Amino acid sequence: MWTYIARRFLAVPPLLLAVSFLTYGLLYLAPGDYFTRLEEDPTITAEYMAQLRAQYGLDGGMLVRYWHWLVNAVQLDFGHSFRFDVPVFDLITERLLNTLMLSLASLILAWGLALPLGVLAGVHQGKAIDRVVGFISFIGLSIPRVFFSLLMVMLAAVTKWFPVGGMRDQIYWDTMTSWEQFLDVCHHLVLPSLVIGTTQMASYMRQMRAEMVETLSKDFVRTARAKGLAHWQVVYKHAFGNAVNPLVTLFGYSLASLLAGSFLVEIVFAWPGLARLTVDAVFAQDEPVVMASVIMAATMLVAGNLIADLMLAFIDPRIRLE
Amino acid sequence: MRKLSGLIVLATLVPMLTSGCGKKNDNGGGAGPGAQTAIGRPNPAFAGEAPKGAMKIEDMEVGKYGGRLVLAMPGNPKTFNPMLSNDVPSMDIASLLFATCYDYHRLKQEDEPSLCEKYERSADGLTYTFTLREGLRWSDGTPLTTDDFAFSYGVIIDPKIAMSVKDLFKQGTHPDGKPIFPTFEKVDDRVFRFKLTHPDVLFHVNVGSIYVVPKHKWQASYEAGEFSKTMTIQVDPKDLVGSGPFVLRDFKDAESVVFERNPNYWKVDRDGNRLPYLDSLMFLIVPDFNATLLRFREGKTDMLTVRPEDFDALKRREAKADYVVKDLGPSFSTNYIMFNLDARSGKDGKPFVDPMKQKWFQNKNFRKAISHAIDRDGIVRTVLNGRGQPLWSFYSPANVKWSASDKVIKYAYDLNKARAMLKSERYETRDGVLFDPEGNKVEFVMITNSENSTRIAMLNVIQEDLRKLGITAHIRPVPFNDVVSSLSDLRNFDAVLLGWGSAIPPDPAQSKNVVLSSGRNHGWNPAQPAPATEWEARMDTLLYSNIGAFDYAERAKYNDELQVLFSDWQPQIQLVVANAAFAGRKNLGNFKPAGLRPELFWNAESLYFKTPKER
Repeated sequence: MWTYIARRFLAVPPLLLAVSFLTYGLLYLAPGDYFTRLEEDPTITAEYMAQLRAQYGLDGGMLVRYWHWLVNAVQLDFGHSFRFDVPVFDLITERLLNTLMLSLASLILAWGLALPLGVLAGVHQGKAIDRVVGFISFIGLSIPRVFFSLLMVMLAAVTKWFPVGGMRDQIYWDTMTSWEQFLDVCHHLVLPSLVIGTTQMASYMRQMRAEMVETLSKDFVRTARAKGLAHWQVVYKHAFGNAVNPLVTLFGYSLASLLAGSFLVEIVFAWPGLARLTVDAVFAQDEPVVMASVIMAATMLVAGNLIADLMLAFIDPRIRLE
Repeated sequence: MRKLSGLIVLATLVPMLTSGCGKKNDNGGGAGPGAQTAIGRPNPAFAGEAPKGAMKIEDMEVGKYGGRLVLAMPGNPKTFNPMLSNDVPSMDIASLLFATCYDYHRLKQEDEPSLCEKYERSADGLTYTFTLREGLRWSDGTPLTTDDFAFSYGVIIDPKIAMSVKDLFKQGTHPDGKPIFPTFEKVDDRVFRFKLTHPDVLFHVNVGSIYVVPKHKWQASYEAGEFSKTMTIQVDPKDLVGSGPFVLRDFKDAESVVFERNPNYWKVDRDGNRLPYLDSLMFLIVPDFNATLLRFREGKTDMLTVRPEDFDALKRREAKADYVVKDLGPSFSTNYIMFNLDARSGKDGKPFVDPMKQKWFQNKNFRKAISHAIDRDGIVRTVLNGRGQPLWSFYSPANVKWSASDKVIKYAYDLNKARAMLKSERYETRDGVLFDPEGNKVEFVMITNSENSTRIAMLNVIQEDLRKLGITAHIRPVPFNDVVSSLSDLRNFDAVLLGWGSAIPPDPAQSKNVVLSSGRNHGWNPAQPAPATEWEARMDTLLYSNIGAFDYAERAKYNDELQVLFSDWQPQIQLVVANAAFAGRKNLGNFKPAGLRPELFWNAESLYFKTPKER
């Protein structure tokens, strides 16, 4: 087990190296750079442009620049954002927390609904409740996220039940007590996490239902029934424990994609998250920010996968990690 | 800054389904309420009496104190450093936090005094003497003097710091390659002098583009070589000492920027009441335009820049709603299509433009025929929702001083005329296809930046128009950076559709990069060592004469000739200009949006709520 974990950890540095090199190469190959957009201003001169590029280290070749970045990154110095002239690390940590908050809320929502509904549908296969749940999952799977987001924003605007965007009530924030601030953030979380949660929930729910249906037809379930166990014991103790196994892996992977899933929703709901920062940085060619975000996402992915594997080994004693 | 969020991450278990927050208190910041005045109670209060030399705003009505104005803005400011800002949000915000020596009245389109009450120019135009107002103070109460100005100017001409305003002051170069800058001389605490090496009609305006920063705050970091790291978005609001109508109170990354009254601001209204009227001002950062519109409709924000496609819907509801929509007519932003007239070759010896196509593009009548074939009204109707007008001049008609729009040549939509012009150049149409005199089919590619759907839509109309002449024009939208490299390095485009925004002030002296044949934005044939054609040589002469003169009538004469010449030769075929429109609450006083940045709040100190609202 421990050798397995150590081996997984050893594989991380080369992976990150490859990812960072590829990302840097792509950024380098993309036409123009962060300062190109200034050309739209008729009063900007060539001297100014040249001085800016030199100042921000954009005048070297690809390998020189990458090496420079790498040496600093190894010491955990990700440089200063071109756009904001502040350390990338500061910029990202704050946004990271916001995105994690949104992703965790939607994750909890998605799994909190997917498991019970999936089990319910699986147990009552073919009955009305199964069809209702199937319909919900059908909608969740097929509705585009942007459209769903806009619908929800419309809902908020028309009913005024929810704020139309942002992470908190800007206007009254300073006058609120901590408890009110907490409630306020929760209130702002409802719609965006609902949008992200619903789409994720749909696929988990279908998976749960399928597993449940399959497990319930297994021999050991029949045996359990035959020896006279109560229905709920059969379903929840024996069948559920077995059916949920593959979903644990899924759960691990969903941890890995925590950072990636919320970009469109962040834009529509004006959520101050990392995805928005990263995508803005890509469009602006703000290299230090893009690099740091990519490294962070890659690390999360590796960690998420590792956690998924470990959880599986923990739950299912038949699996041994060697 | 946001310790709380960490806790919330763990605790968000149950989505709340009701709104449950206390929303009663006023914005009760640190400062106590001010003294009652005839027009209300400013909170935070002003610091003492208005300075002796306070500037009186005569052309705005007298308002009332109080209230918070809320606006949406599409992106984070990049910096609070007014000298280093080169993006729109940062520049707009700089104008709230800092003042300049001289200013430009956005509605009158005229220079006006600002921190300096006057300037004098010597008869030879080489010495400028500026006088600061009496009793000016920074927002922290420190006196604002010539020394601050000397410090700021020193930063600007420091070769180590990249800054776009630096170029405005360059007066040529020394033999050793170092730029020559005017010398600065302190006369006393309120008076300072510049000595130039040759006259510059815009010099006082250039001085006016210097945002003065406080020496007592930033000298240490400047001397440590850290100036570019000061006043970033991580600045402590207390350290951001300024001279604009507002000071920063709070910045939440990607969420909001909050300002409150600068207690030492140096302008008064016509009754002598100190400004600004508003207690505070808030920008919500809303990246999506539809969401911005929604927030305005909901009453969450007080002012809005109206897009052409939203105009009708907003206007229709205006009577019943609590906002007004103001249509300013033509905006300052122009759109044009331009052929590549560059006859040079690249490093590989190959001509930038296929010689066959060069013959078409270089032909004046070919360009004029194209200009006649473009249905500009059609573009306005279909692309701009009817919200715009055809453009004939290099400057938009919004530019009252320099557009010369009644004098330039207009190219009415006339296909027969276009065909006749092409025929006179021995172009022939066979089976609906246009052939040049050598028998080549006329076919080229038009590019524009793919981020801008309006420009792509314009190309669609133009493509259709040109088809009627028998010309096959392909549309290729490419990313903006690709357009730039096509224009500046590769020089491999046939035709490009782009637009110009406006510099402030919108003066011909600001168009040097575009109009002069040596300019790098002289896009159809940039950076020429010597003018390639007679008409370009003439344009150079006219622009130099213009910016060498001080008298407006004389300058206008040169400008008119230049504009007519430009419209005759059509190096840029001007297309259309969209109308600008803005909306604001009916409760908002002195709501006078302008066509120039910052359009909605250039007069931020005079904006007020007729009924100050509790928020």
